[in-house]
Amino acid sequence: MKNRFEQKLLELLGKERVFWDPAARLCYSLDGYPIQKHTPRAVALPETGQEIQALVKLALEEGVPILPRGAGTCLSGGATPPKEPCLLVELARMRNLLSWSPEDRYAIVQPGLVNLDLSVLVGPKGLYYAPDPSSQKASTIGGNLAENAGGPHCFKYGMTTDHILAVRFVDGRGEFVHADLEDGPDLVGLFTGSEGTFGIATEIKVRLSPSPERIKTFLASYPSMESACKAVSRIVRCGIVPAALEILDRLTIEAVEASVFAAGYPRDAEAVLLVELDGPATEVEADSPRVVDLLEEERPLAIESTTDAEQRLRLWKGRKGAFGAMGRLKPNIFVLDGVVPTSKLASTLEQVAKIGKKHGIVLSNVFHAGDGNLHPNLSFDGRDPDETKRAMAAGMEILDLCVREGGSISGEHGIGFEKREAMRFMFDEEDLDAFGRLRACFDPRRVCNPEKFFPTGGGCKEGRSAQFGEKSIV
Amino acid sequence: MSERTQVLRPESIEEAIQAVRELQGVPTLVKCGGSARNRGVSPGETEACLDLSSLNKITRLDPDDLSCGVQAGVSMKELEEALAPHGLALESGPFAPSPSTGAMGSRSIGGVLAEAPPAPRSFDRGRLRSQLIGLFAVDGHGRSFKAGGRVVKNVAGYDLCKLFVGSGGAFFVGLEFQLRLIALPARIVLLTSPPFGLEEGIAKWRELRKNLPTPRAMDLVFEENSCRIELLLGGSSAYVESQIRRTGFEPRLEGEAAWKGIGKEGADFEGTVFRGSCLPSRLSAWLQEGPLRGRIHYQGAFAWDRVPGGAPPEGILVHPTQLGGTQVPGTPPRDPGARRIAMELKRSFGGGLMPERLSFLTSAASMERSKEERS
Ligand SMILES: Cc1cc2nc3c(=O)[nH]c(=O)nc-3n(C[C@H](O)[C@H](O)[C@H](O)COP(=O)(O)OP(=O)(O)OC[C@H]3O[C@@H](n4cnc5c(N)ncnc54)[C@H](O)[C@@H]3O)c2cc1C
Repeated sequence: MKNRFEQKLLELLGKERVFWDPAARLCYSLDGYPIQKHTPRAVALPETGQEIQALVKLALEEGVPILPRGAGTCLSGGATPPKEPCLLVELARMRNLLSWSPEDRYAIVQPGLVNLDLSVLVGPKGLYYAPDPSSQKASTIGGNLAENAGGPHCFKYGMTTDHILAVRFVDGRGEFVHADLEDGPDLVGLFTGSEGTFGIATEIKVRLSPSPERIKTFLASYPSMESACKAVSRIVRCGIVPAALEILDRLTIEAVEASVFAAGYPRDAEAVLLVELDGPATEVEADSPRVVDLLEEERPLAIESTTDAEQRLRLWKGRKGAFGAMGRLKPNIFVLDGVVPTSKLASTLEQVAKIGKKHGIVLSNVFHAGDGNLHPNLSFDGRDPDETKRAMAAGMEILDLCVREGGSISGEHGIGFEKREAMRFMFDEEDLDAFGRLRACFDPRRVCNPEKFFPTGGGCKEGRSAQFGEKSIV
Repeated sequence: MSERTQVLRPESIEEAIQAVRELQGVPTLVKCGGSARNRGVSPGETEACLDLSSLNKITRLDPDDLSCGVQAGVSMKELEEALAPHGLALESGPFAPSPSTGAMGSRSIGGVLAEAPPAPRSFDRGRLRSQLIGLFAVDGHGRSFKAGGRVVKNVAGYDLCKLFVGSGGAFFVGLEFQLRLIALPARIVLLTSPPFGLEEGIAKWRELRKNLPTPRAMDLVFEENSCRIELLLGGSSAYVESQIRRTGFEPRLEGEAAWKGIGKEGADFEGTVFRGSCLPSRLSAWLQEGPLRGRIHYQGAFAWDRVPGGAPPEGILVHPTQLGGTQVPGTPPRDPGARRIAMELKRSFGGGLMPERLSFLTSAASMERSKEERS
């Protein structure tokens, strides 16, 4: 016997497009954050914006939380259902490129379109969608928008927020909002990165970028992490803006080289640095000698460079497959996402290693060095409660460290469940109150993706921000 | 501003917060630098003026991290002078004189961010809004808060920085800002094309957009029936040299002068200034319709003081802007849902700040009220 909520849901979408059975719902009980799991009450598969609106209205009427889901690759638990059984909105049936203009360089897409698929679709006209999270083969534009996703090339091209021109969404009152950069206050910028807590995006207008004429990738290996980080600082300061600056540490190199993602990285190196230049061929070739000079100033073990597409893929293979390769170290991996000022990369990584040791956790690093976005990877066995607890404790300590160094708890993966308590490292009660009021403008009843983002409990005044000294300093 | 207007000039961040708390609900004009006019408030409307020009400290400059912290009243000139010795700059450049405000150097960073003028180097609103990475503010109800941080990449917390840029100060008073900077390239050159006829110029501009995908800035500048292209290039000497040869345009300014030089012409705009945006593909048909003067940026933002007579086709948005009057920030969202959210934001954060800014909100509210009354 179905209750009222279930009956109404069936009336809206029919039985083909609603999942009830426990096995199907179980598949949606977590995302890429392995620590927390909750099974949704029902999974709905809308095909239009109107259906999404009807679902939000139903959730409001019945007092059921609602949660959109793209590909579920989120690493902070953003796409993990809340504890209170929710209506999960699976966007896999909304994957169309609705319209686009090559000359005006924009595309209007449905939220479920996979990031890389968009670039493939517009590629023949010499365009692509620039934000490139390493998950881009699977993750969706809607999920990228909600998380303000970054990626290796956002050092030059900016985050998702720099590529969104307009968003149509259903807010927490069940009403449509069309936010456009062209007019009014910047609601597009507010919605981007709001982690599904303001509503559900139904259509997204994105900026397309011209594909670079030439791409040149350099791989420099170093005998110490410090020299790799110093090489990054030199490049960042010189006025050349590489498309990407990525570092892998020794443990990651070992894991990668022993796996199917082996890229031929030198095994005697403590760190390898990938640098990519892209743009007009003349510019790339003109900048190359300067980049080599700067890399050499830190006495690398070796430098390799290539413009050949296949060779470039090889050099990136290890970086892109790094998370997969970590599976060799332990069954589970907890990917952190702290940020520090680039000048503090090397010293912070030393501290990070100490924290890993202290908690007895295998810890490796692969990160976006150009903008100081660390990804310490904590490998653990989720079946071992004690090791899991130690991994979590190490994670929190590392995020705290990043904030103390003047950085942030998240560069691109978002807060979700994972970092909601760590929000207090950065923000005090007044800041959180401002966030709360902002959210209420979009979703006064907190029906959209609840239980995330905001820390639980009180006692905010102990927040870390007090330790920055003067309150006025961000 | 009438003679009875109470002027408050806080000397510290704490004093500024206190002042806003005391003014709660009082219609207040916020100004930061010498160039601020009565923007956002008509004479007699405001009872108070909060003058932030004494908040003029550069609180930190970290050249290696490409970021700095500045208080709201720091002038663009001061900021520029502090950055130049380190070879650093704001990516959008030391904004050209704004058509609506005149002098550039005296413009404060607070005013520049709040008004978000279309800067030639910004790839439209895209870039200026991404330069503000952190903010400390006080809202119209006297509640202070921060958002963002000091690092250039950061997604923790909602991005309230975005709500400030271009808001005209209608929601909260930005007191201190964290900014991302760029290291200036080895060589910077401003090139100018020979004069073109309208059609020819537009065709050339479109071709360059296609084939020269990443100039630092590229404006199409119209004067009656002729136009020219201004191209700002940056990079290694060899690259810049190759592009000069490729375009055949004449190098007009080098180095810092080039960085500052683009867009100067906006200074002699007169009367009503039109701001807006256009889809490059729709431009030429519209331009056939009459005299115009202005400039259009790389991605299609424009600032013109004369626009063609006919109604713009779909894909071209025009917002009239009185000299010294309401600018882009006052532009009402076309969508009713977006207007509703904007009103919620104003209610929740704005209080008495800049009462005429976003005045569409009040008129929309009164329209809704009268609709309710009728029904
Ligand atoms: C191997 C791997 C590599 C990764 N690399 C990167 C990286 O380089 N950079 C990076 O930034 N991230 C990276 N991620 C994290 C993740 O891929 C991104 O956060 C991505 O943006 C999530 O997209 P998704 O489609 O999987 O969204 P989901 O995980 O399904 O959802 C993420 C959040 O978005 C919300 N959401 C989804 N659709 C909508 C919508 N239409 N409207 C409103 N809210 C919505 C969800 O409710 C949830 O809160 C990586 C993840 C993995 C597993």
